[in-house]
Amino acid sequence: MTYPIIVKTEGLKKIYIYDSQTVQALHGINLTVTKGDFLAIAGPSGSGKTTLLNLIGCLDTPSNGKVFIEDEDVSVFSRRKLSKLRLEKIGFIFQEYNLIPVLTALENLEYVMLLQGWESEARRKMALTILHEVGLAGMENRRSNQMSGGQQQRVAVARAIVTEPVIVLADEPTANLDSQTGLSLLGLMYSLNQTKGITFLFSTHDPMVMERAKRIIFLKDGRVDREETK
Amino acid sequence: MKAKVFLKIAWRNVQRNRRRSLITIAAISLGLASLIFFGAINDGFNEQMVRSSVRLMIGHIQIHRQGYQDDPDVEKFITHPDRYMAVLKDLPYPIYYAPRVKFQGLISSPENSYGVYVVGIAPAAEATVSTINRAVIEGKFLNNDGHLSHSLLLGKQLAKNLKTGIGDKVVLMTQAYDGSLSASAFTIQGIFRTGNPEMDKGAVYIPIEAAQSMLAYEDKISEIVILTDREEQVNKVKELIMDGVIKITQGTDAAMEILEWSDIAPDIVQIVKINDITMYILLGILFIIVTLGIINTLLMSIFERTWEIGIIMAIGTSPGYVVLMLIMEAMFLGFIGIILGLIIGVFITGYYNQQGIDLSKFSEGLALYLGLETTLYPVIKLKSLAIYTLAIFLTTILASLYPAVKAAWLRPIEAIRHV
Repeated sequence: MTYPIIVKTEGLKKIYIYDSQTVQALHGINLTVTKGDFLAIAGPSGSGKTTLLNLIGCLDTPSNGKVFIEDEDVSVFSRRKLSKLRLEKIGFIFQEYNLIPVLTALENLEYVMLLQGWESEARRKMALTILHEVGLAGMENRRSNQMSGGQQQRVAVARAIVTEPVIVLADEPTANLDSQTGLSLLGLMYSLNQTKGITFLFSTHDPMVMERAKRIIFLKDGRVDREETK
Repeated sequence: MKAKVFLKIAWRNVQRNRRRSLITIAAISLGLASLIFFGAINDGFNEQMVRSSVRLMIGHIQIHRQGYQDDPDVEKFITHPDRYMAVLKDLPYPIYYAPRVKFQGLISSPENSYGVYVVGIAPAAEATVSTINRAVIEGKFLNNDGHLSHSLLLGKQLAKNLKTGIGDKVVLMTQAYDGSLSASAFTIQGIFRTGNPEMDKGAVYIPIEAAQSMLAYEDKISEIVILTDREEQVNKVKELIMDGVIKITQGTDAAMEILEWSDIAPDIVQIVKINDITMYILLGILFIIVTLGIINTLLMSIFERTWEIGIIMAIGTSPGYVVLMLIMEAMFLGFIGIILGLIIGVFITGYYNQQGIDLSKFSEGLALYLGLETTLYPVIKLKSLAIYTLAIFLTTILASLYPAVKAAWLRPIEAIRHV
């Protein structure tokens, strides 16, 4: 069975300029992500994992090359159109949880749904359902400073999937969690991938994540070193 | 609906760092309170200056023969003044009025002679329209029967120049309207000090009957001075007087002019304008200081949370909504600051409006402007209050615009990485 390609990169390059020095983080990455993937970008620190994820997530712009999301070349998108694209098609899970601190867990989920124009009642119902699914029943009204790291990251996962995006990008989601919590979170994401068909793209050097990944792309010095498919 | 959530986030952000929010609110409220107070001092000063001039000599309205204001010739007199007085008497507004006869003359003492401006007054009526009776510092104000004794009031500086005092005799000379020379002896009954150097060295008051006699005027007069009970009634009263005067003068060749104080003393209007400009410059400087304070605290507040703004943008909030959210935050701070500023500003100004600010130490210098008054009463004007409030509110919004746009303009990843 063939799955549609939802993300494609062509010759993706990223050059950072610090004062008078230039550092090339990516050297022409070609990559495809198909629907339902549970894909890990692995590699040592400085290999370009996060840079690649940021470019695919339209958080940053490439120095050269293109990113296609559902066949649309996002390099020609305006800032406003990129915001809309991130809102509608991409879910983000950051290493440092990064919830909106003044909002509760439930409100963090509802916030993105509201931006998408969900009706009040449907929004609340769906947000509560997802929070329950990620194991946060009873924690709806807690703010990030009232939750543990694992709980915050679960909220981040819930926020990332609540609007059913095309792809969820997770930048080292288990890096700040203890192994037990990390394993549990990974299990949650894997289960969402299996049951709901949500596509996940991780950047990681966590062996637990790599063990679960269906496909792993290894980066080294900004280039694809090798690819493994299970 | 989105606005509601942005408002919620903005309000919670205001509460989040209370110390920082309080500093911003303090900058806004103290800035507004200062604007209100100093603006009220300026408005009070202008009001008192105008009132002082109006009350000393000019009155709110004057009735003359046409052309008298530009060329106060003795031949431009008002005949049958009782007909005009009757119009004034019947006005539906509480007003005060007094007739005057005015002319240029020469005053002589055994020692010196000076050119003077002679004002013939009806003492009781004059006391209702001017403060000259209160300016008498030696001797007494004129009596209603002063014409019998030929008594006279003169300014302190003039008395000094003439080397005369209370009870001394002086002679006034002038040319009557029929061309004849006229001279009369007067006894100095009082010496006044108004603070206005022109008046103190060049004005003389005598009973109106004596002045009419010197000019061979019979019952003619030079002008009628009118003082309204309230400043805001001046225009309406003037209109009614015009209507009445037109009826009297219809079919005659006695054209009249009815002037407001601002037509009679345009120099005072100019001084008010100059004062306002000076105050606006000072307020502008104060405004810049307040604005910089607000910008500084808002910049700190926004830049400290740049990473958070990056997250908000990363999950799909458009730059426009980010700016809106941050402006809403500034609006909350501005709103609270303005409420406090209004309370503080109005309270302090209200206190000094009742107690006054004692300027007696500067009375010599201020006499020209404030006349006999040495206490300044700041005045709160609703229009000024509205302008300052709106200006501070807009400043707060504009001050937040720069850091908000700057933050929203960052690429999300730059904002997230911002430390």
